[in-house]
Amino acid sequence: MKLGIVLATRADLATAAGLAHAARRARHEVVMFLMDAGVNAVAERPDIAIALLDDDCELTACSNSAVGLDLPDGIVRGSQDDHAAVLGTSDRVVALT
Amino acid sequence: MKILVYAHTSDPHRQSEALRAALGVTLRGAEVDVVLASEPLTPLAQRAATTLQAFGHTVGSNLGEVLDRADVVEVWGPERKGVRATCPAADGRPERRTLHLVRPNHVVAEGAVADGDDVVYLEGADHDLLLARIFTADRVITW
Repeated sequence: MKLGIVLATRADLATAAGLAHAARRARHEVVMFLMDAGVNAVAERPDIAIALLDDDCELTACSNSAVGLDLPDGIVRGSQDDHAAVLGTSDRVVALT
Repeated sequence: MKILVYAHTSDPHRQSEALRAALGVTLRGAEVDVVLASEPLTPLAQRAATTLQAFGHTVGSNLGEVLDRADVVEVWGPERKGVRATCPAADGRPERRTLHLVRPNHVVAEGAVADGDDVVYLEGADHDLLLARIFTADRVITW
């Protein structure tokens, strides 16, 4: 199964990460799309982002939201098409927007 | 696929981002319903709403009319504190079990929880147990 997570807030980063790691422990695929304050959240907590990447979660940030932000290597700067893909290809979506 | 973007905010930036997201999720062919808690607050939001409507997507203000038919729901609220909303139940709700996740200081829209739905408060929730409930539900809405 594939879990899609959309993160667009700072406050929900811990929940997003907790669910993503739980899904990986259960051997589910995890794809995460970051936009708006969700991109700021991972820029401010690269340790959390790196742990997600190390756990084989796929992270894509909206490049429009990511302008001027340093993001850990491994986070793809993508577009809203990636957002559409996360919603369209995941078995369940958790939108933390 | 039917996607609902509910911009449950009076913050102009958040509303604009919600509408940008709504445009974005149309890119792979999904039908999108947008519900706005207030009129478009910025030229960007207005332009996005107009574009969505021009492509046949709906932009309205009645959550109850569209909530049940959505396969995926994005609730764009204020980041820190939720606002109470109402969702008059539509007739003939589909047999779909929704898991409602409630963030700290947020509330589920009144009327949004149907018989058989599940409600979980995220504060202090066990993520492993929560994950099992996510995959046994038909869809998830985070308030």
